[in-house]
Amino acid sequence: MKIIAVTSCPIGMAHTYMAGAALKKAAKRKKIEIRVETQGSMGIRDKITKKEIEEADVFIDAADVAMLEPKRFKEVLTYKTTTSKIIKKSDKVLEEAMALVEQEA
Amino acid sequence: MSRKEAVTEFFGDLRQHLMTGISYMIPVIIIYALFMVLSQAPGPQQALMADLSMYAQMMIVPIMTVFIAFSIAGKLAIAPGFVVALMADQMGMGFLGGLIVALLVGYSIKLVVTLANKTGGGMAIDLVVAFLVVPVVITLALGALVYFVLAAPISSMMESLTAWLNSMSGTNAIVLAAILGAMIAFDMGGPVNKTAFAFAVGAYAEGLYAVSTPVLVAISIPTIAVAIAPFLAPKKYSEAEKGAGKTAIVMGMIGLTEGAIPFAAVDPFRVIPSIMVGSAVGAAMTALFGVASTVMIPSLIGLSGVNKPLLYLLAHAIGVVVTVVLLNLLKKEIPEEDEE
Repeated sequence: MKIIAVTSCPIGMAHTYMAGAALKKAAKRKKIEIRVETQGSMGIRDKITKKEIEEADVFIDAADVAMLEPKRFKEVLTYKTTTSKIIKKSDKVLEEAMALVEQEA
Repeated sequence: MSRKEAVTEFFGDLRQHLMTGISYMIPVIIIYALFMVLSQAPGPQQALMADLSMYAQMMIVPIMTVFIAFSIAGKLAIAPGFVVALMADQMGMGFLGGLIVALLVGYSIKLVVTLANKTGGGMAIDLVVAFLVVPVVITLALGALVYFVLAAPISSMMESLTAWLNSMSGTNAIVLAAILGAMIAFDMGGPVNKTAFAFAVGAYAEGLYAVSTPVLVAISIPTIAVAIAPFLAPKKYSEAEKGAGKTAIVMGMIGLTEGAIPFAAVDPFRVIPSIMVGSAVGAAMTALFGVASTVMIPSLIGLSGVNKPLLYLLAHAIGVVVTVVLLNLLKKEIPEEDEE
């Protein structure tokens, strides 16, 4: 299972990166691959590549503010959430995103 | 898709649109506040500081409008949004005016673009929409709406609101502060927290520091409290919580309410009321002491913009103490075998 995600919070500082880190840790616990792109005050970091988008099973959209370059992800199955939800329950968010993939299969 | 789905999709995620505006507005506010403070110092640079602050202030509402409108309708919304919002703000419509303009510009442009796309598109239609309909028709229509219809009532509404908030005598101001403080702690970064925060930012943009500062104080209290509480009642906290407490100290110093989330997640019925009361009390104290911050930055890093630094810190301390006491009073000891 390959997951891609974008996090972006209003202040663009802490929660953006905290949510990103939480997702990575949760993915590690579940032993699945994840690529997280953060869009904070300092701009896009760890930008997800075209190849990674093509290979992804699901896209976790955790952009609390309008995403930069959103059209990239149009074709990918999307699970919409918030940075707050991720920070509170990253495992649950991952599980729900994964469940979405099972549903579509 | 069904009619209902189409309508929902058209309006989109309103909260996200508004948050986008606020997100881009905050750096402008920071520049305004910083140079406002710096312009107090006499010397050859004073005029520059004052000018920078003045121009930044003019941009606060327009930038918010532009990014809300951009979130709704994309690039085309930027120019008309900016121009009409600048005019609205200068006419006294303030934060509220900027919000209204953003929604009007955003959705009218989105409507036009949706209709244009339905006709099949093509270069001619695109040119007409982008270089005629939007800049001329929409700007003119909404500009006229603002100028002739909305300016008078909205600006007088803003004046009354500002005057009312400014004049809020002792008790009312304290009650408002307490309510906002409780909201901040309630979901620690969730929608209620964001609403109170947005309200504070709006008040701040109108220069109502007496309203925004208590919220600023409320933000850090839960996190600092959950960092300290385990040290005073170690038997009531798990190892995981003690660990989370250490990161929470840093987060509290920079004003991240989220640090309290792990604690609230495992014991919500005791933790959430405790932090709500603590933040409400801290906010109320801030209002009582008359602390005002000219920079919209919480906790220790925001100390530079505060008019009464010692009382600012005292309000924090009182809020934290109340929270810690409540937490440790309410929480039960963890039995040896299992961890809650």
